[in-house]
Amino acid sequence: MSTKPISSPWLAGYAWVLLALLLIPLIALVPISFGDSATMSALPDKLSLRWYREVLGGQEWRNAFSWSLLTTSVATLLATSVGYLAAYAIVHSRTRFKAILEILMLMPMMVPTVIVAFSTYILATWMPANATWLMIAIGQALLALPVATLIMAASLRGIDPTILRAAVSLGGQRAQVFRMVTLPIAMHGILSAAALSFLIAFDELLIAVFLTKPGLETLPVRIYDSVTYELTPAIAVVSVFLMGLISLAMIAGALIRRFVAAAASNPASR
Amino acid sequence: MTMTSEAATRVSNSASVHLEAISKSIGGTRILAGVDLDVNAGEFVTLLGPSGSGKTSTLMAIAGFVTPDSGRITVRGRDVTVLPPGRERDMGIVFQNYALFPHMTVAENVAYPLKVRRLPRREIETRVADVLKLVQLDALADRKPARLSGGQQQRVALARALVFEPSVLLMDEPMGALDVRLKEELQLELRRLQKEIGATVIYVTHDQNEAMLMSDRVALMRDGQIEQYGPGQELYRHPRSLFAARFLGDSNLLKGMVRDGWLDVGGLRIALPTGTLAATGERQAALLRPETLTVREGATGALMSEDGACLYGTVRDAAFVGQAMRYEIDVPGLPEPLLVHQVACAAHAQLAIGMPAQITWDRDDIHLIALGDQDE
Amino acid sequence: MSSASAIPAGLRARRSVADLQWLSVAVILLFLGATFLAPLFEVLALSLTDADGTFSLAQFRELADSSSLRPVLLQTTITALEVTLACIVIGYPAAIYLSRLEGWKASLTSVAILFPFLTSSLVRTFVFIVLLGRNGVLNNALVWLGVPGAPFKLLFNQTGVVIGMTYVLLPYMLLSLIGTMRKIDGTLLDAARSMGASRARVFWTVYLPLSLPGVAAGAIITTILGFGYFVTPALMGGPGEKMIAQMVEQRIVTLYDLPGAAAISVVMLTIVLMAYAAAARWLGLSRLMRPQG
Ligand SMILES: Nc1ncnc2c1ncn2[C@@H]1O[C@H](COP(=O)(O)OP(=O)(O)OP(=O)(O)O)[C@@H](O)[C@H]1O
Ligand SMILES: [Mg+2]
Repeated sequence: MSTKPISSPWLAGYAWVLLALLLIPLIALVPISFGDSATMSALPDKLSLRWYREVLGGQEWRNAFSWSLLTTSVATLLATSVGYLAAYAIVHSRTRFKAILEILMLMPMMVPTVIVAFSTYILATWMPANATWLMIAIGQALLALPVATLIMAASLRGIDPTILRAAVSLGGQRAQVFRMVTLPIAMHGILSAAALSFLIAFDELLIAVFLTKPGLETLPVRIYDSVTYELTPAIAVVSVFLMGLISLAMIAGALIRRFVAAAASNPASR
Repeated sequence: MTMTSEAATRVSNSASVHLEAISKSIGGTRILAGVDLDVNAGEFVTLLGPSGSGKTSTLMAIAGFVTPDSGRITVRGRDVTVLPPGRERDMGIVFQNYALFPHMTVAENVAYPLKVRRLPRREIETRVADVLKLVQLDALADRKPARLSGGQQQRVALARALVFEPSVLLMDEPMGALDVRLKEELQLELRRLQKEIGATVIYVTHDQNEAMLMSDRVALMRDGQIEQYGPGQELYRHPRSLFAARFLGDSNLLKGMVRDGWLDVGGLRIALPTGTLAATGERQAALLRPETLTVREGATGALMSEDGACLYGTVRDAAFVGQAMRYEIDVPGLPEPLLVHQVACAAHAQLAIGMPAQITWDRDDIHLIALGDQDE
Repeated sequence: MSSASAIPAGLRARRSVADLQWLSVAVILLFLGATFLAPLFEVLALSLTDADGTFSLAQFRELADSSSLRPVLLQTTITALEVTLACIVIGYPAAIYLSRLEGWKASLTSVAILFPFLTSSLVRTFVFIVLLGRNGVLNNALVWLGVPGAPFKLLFNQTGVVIGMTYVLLPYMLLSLIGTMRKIDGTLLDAARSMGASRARVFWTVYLPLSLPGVAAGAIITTILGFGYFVTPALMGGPGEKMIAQMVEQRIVTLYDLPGAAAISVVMLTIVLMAYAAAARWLGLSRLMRPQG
């Protein structure tokens, strides 16, 4: 440390304070969610589970959560599978076509979200009304697609081509090479892509706002309406719930990574 | 099936390989320019050559990863030139970096070629166990490649390439990443193994000692062509070109012109080997391997002996290199000093720098190389 | 000849590898074409039609004439730039330190950045509404401290939007900065020091230039995301149309003026594409596409 020209205790202190400031607001939601009154306070006078009962028992929140789960699951599936094909094509093709494909895949990320949402809205107007939920899922998939593609492309690029050559030369047919070699090695990237796609899709607001109708409301729309019109600790409860999910996902990710690392280095992995 | 007869059964499977005028250009550059190669069943052939000479490209053409622009590759008489790599091509490959599957254990790696062929589980287990015993890795069957040493990884790669009893085994510098001691050990082990199972092996290296030690025949490559092909000893003793002479071992090359049964090297007369039929006026180079020369203290001022198998000079450099003394001797009339390797033993007197020296040899140890127009 | 059977088999296998690539490309094109490109063209078409559905530039003429678009565009651009600047100023010094951490401190850093990064932007905006309100934690603390003028109006105005968006977008900037700074070779700094450069000089002449690509990539992301941002301005902004994304949303949801929304979208798209083109010229396209890598 002593030789590093760019360093000072002030910098370190500042950096840790900044990280704390990033996290503290979110942590502050936890006590708020345990409040008892309709107004929100970071230090509630009386702790209660009132708003948890309200949210978990409320049909509206439960419906919103179910819709979100449905659209987001479909979106994740779409984004991950189409993204995998795109990543495969981008990594393995050698033509000029590749650059066009790359730009095309990234477009939904480069174009402002409102416009993606608008075009999904247009798409939905072409479709029957009972397919609206599917259109929401497709729009969410579009938003997740670029990130999913980038992650999986990086992961596919990381596979040593001689390993694939070895797999072929040893007699593996294409499907076998994919199942026994490519997929397990790329699995980490695929799971990451799926997880991130899920979060991006789950967080999507505008598409759902444009396409929402009575009986079809995703969780973000519900939160949005609630923040606009009600602003009760119920939102804090939902937030805490969502953050819990993310914590679980991050812990699972870390565990998987550790497990993979351990399995790769453990003499007796069975 | 019995376990012990496993190794013996592999002999029958090994195949001959023939390359006819294989050419390949990539992006306008000619990387293979008509490669011809015959490999007999059960033979160990090494492709030797400097970096960029086309060794890997030739091997990958045999493996099917490079499709030749022209030419023909046959295995056991069957044309496989455009056959894609894989099951039908039936070749075991050991890649330079081993290309072990990082997510599989040693046993799983070795079982892979059998699993993709959908062999019964029982048979897979016995054959994997057998081959792991053969390469002495049975104790490490459950490890992942990341936890193996370089030599162990190399043996896993070998076991994986052997286990499905391919007709040909291809290896691209499999010892490239190993330290010297381990390398020597594995070279001998591989050689023994190859003889034991009778596999056809085509091996790539740029290490001439390795090529000599292991191969039945060596193909010396240069600029996408095979410069010379034959047993290692023949390449060493009777190189057909200056390139071959220089590439294999240390060499003294005395270039001159044949005149009346002698080789005239800048006024020095060198006796030709007995029975040589070289006409006056031919340009030839005499190859004198450093270890065929004998050096002793010479008389000052002596220039030339009558028999043409002796030169006089001054010791320019003397160094002890382990089993031998390495001398550089300046000889008046020669553009470069002569290199002499002389076994360090009581029979040979050691010379110091600056001392006058006499160098002698047996005229039949000389090998003549005809000089072409482009050889200066 | 024995090759008779081998050649067709070989060619067949080789062709089918290419087939698979084309198949995947076809699937991608079909998916993107049907779900994204076609509707996007429809948006373009909508912007060029009038109420009767015939071609006209009426929408754009109206936008140019009306007093509504220009101030919003200006406001949006200023907000995006303010947020970007805030992210750089706040993030850069911290990233210098954080990029050099190893072990558990580095893990803690990535958790502390990734957790807010992954948390719903709605949640992150919501928490700021709670914290910045007139009776929120921040104002209460300021009043308690006796700060003159407190409580301040931090919500439902421009200040609130900039604060909230900075909080929401800061993780992008930090990730980009740390990613680039991690790759700066520490020995370069030592080398510069050994040649007699002062600490400040090493920073200005070596560290800053080497970290600039990360700043640029982060700035592009935050500016462009900020330009099109909806959630935070919609929830934290003052009454009326403040940001351009809200204008589009309002035309679709409230006014049902699709051609109008389309015209504004086209304007937005043009500005964003121009920004990308400028950035690509400046940084190179490939760098632009892999901000973190
Ligand atoms: N894909 C390629 N595109 C263009 N040139 C290539 C390609 N592969 C090989 N070459 C060229 O072909 C020549 C032969 O390459 P090759 O890899 O066969 O050499 P090598 O004898 O194996 O060398 P080394 O000992 O360094 O491995 C080299 O000049 C190389 O630059
Ligand atoms: Mg090579």
